[in-house]
Amino acid sequence: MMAATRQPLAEALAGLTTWDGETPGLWRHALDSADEHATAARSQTHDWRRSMLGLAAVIVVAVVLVGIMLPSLGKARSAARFVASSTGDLSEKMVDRSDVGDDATFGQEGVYRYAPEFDRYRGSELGGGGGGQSPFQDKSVLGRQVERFDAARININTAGGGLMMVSSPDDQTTSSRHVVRKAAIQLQTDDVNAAYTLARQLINSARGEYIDGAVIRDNDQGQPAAELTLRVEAARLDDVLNELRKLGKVIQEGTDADDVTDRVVDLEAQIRNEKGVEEELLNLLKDRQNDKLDDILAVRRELAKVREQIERLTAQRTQYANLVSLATITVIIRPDEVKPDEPEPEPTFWTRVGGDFKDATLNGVDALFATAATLLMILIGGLPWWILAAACTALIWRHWRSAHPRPLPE
Amino acid sequence: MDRQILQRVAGGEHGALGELAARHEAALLGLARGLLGGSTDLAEEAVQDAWVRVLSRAGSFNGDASVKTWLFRIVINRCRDIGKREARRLRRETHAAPTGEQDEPDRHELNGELNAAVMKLPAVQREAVLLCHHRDLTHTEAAAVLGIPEGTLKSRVRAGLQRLRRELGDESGVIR
Repeated sequence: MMAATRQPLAEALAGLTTWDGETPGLWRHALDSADEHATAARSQTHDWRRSMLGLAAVIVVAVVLVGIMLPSLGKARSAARFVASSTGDLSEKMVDRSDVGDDATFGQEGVYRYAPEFDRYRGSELGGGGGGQSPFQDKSVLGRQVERFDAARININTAGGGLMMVSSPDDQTTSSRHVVRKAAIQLQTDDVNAAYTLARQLINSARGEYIDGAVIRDNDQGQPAAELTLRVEAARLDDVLNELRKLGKVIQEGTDADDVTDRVVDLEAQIRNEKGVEEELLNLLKDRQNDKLDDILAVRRELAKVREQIERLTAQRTQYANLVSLATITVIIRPDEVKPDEPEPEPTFWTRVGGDFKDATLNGVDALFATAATLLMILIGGLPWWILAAACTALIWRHWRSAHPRPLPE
Repeated sequence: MDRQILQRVAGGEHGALGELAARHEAALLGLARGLLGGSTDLAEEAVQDAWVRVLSRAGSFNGDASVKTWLFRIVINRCRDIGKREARRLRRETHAAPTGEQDEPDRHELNGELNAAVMKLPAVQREAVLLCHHRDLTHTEAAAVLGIPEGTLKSRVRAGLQRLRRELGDESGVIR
């Protein structure tokens, strides 16, 4: 049955490809149309050439446009990077004084961290300096919490190169005059950290001297700069200043004195006077113990007022004594001047083009690497999917190719 | 013989093309008509184009295959091009006038059902089947025309015939 079926099918297929009768002599028509084909081919060649010329023109225009656009894009990207790096996260750069809080004790070591924009020091010489951090070791008197970095205590304003001495008294304890002495010195050195440390070591804690404030941080050029407020025995003021001068080049120096003798004498007179009144009131109470209660109470109230006044005056006198006994030295230590960069010459057209081209090239290389990394990640991460897709593609390709075979070689 | 004629054609003796046509045009027309669904007009167009191509490429014939094989290859390629063109045209016309009447069948079409079944075969199977059943070609020559081993040709023919039988089944009086 099968053989019987195959034979008719084969014959029918053979019949499909059999040409019965005369052939139409198509070769003659071919000869006639050969010229037309040649003409058409030439026309196609011309069309092809025109297309190629048009494509080349488009490519040239595209290259020119890209050449114009890329430098701008590169510059924009560079600018964006610069802005991003400049702004940064300022919150991370804010001063953290946790290491030097109120619990700081004598001999404690820690780290000062400070921000480029330290508002509380904005008015000072170091205000607006660059951020950074520096180590410190507290060697102040009796482990007192004298280094609090409280801006209110460092009220130094040297804007314009001048020196403003905050407060300080000095007392000529050995004379009859009461003089509050203060001094300020601005030093320049190539090793600010060392000078800062040495300046701190000038304090003699045994004499009751102490550091009223100290800060060190980076300035605009990223170099450390320091400020200290030293309270030293008035008699040692000149000695300490001499030692400070050895720490660097003296840029500015000044001293000031405020004679408070009159105020002290006046205070002492008031105290003596009040004490006299106090004594009289005490005697009055003692002598008139049998008077009416209201009278006794009135005397006592008056006695209390007098004693309060005495205490107030005594406190003021003690304060003056304190101010007079210790002089205040404000020390500013700055790094050596950085030679300012020579102003860049005005870029020429070709310099700008070169710079832009360099930026564009670097950006292009960055983008290339980023793209390559992304593609690699996609390639590796999606490997199972790629294999599956390749298998599907192969099947589809095979099916398509069976329906659309390649032209046979002629 | 064919090579000498082809050399004369390449030498500018276009009249020699008539000798080549006298030897092969009928076989080429038969194959073209089979590949193009039995359409005589399309077959003649294919063969005429093939002769034009022979004229333009006679000088570049490298002699790796016989001239006969080369001619069949040219015709097959032209049939493929025309087949694609006609398929596109048919799709356009069907899309443009979906409710309209289809082209009337070519009066010269032979064995309509068998032709239709052959045209449903994948191209590679259709070509293999028709070349193998062409009276002017041996299986070796058919394999040489398609540029495939004979084993591959036979497997394609076998697959094509199986598919034809499924397509035709009992409905085809041709097979019975």
